[in-house]
Amino acid sequence: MIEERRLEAALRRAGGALPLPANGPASILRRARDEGLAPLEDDGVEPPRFGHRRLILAATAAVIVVGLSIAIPLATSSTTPTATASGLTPLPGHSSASASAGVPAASDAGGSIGAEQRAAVGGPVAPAGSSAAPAGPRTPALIASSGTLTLRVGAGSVAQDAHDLAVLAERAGGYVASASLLSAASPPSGSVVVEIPAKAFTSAISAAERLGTLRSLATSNADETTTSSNLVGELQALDDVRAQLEVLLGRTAKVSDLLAVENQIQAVETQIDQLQAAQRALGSEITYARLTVDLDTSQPSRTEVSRHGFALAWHDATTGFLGGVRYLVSISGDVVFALLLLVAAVAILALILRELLPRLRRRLL
Amino acid sequence: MKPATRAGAGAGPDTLEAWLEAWYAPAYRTARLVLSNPSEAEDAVQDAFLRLWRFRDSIPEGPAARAWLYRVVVNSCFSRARSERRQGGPLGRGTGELDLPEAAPGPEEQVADDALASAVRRAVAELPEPLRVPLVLRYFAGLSEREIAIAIGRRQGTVKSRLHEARRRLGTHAALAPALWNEVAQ
Repeated sequence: MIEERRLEAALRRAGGALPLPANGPASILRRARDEGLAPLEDDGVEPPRFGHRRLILAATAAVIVVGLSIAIPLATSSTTPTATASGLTPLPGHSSASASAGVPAASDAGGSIGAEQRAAVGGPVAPAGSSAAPAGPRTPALIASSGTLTLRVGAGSVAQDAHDLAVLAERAGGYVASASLLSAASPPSGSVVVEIPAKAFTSAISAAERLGTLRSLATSNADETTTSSNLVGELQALDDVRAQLEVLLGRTAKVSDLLAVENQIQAVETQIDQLQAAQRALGSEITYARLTVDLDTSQPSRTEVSRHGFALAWHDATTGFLGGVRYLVSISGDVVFALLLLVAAVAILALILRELLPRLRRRLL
Repeated sequence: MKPATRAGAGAGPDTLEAWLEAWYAPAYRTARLVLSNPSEAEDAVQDAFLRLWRFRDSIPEGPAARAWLYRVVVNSCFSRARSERRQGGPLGRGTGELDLPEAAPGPEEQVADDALASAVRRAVAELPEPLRVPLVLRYFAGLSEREIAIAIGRRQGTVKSRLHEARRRLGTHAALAPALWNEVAQ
């Protein structure tokens, strides 16, 4: 390795010894005069020249990516039912009859329960894990859920299990709607009806299952969106009618007309009250899911599998694991798409910067 | 680099004369060390100065002006080399480098030349262009690594590694090393 000082000295000597062209500067001056060189009209800074082809390619790719990222969500949102929670819309001037209504989970709680099969009963059933189709493009789905759970419990534990169900309901934010215990009967049995907030329905079912041996479970999800929308529409219409009647009331001159209009108004208000009551009831059905738990103490069948302790824990663990896997698979599509967009955006940005940065550095001289 | 009285548009050749007087010699010798060929170096420097004169309003003040000058000179050398390659001239060997033949020294060069200078020039000319240009800019023109990086459009780390490699190769050059040792002995 040559020492820097020595190299510098040698190179300066070597370069300095080079003779200069005799007419070098003169030829430059002559050429400047001949060409009539003058500064450019602009500030004289040469604009950076990009690789035009690369720039066009990068710009086109960016437009495509941006367009897709806008278009695809718009396209999918118009076909995918929304699952946002929303209460019933109260009419102005009327008392609110709504609370936030959650969208309960699907009917099937998963897992095998031996001989008995799970069945979906009841009215219109929404697809598992999703809400029903909204009544309009922007109307969130309103789902009324219910379920019937049959548990095998010990003969002497009917009362205790009923109490546990009540505690479970209260912890979930619900309440016991009714309870019927036949402890003296042979065999003893009981039935407890609890109202659980819709968003806690699934977890409440899982918790209730642990109180005994699951014999059967049936859930249903009824889409009440249309019903709710119809109620709102009818109430609005009746309110408009009442408003018109009140205007008419102010214009009546005769007593007979006055009485007739008042009767009409009273009839309309009665209808409004009835519809409001229906609206409140529907709101309650959507806000709270009804779970009927039947406590059965009869002897288990030979083919039925009894789960307690570790077996029950294992069952819960595998159920939970499979549920988690299902969730990950369901969101993987969105995640992969988002990652692809991100990679494309980063690649385009890197390409553009690779073209720009060297030229910017030179311009900063 | 700019004269004390900055010329505006349409200034006469006096200002360009001042530039040439101050910078022609180092610019030409730099180009000569890069290109080796005297006529090509002369043309490259001529192009560079005309270009500088055209864009003189954009030349920064202060120390950055020197780096700007050498950047233009080096780019002009590259342009001439590329042009020759496209035309299939003596420079157009398709090697992708400034693989220029050393012109035969004229009488004036033989007088001014000595063994060490000749050996140095020969060794530098044999370096590949990516190593030769930073070496000349650093040890002849006296630019800093940062200025060289801006002049050739590379990162400072790249410049540092190329300088290191150039010095290493010169250190093992068969003709240069003995000449340098002889110089030390003298």
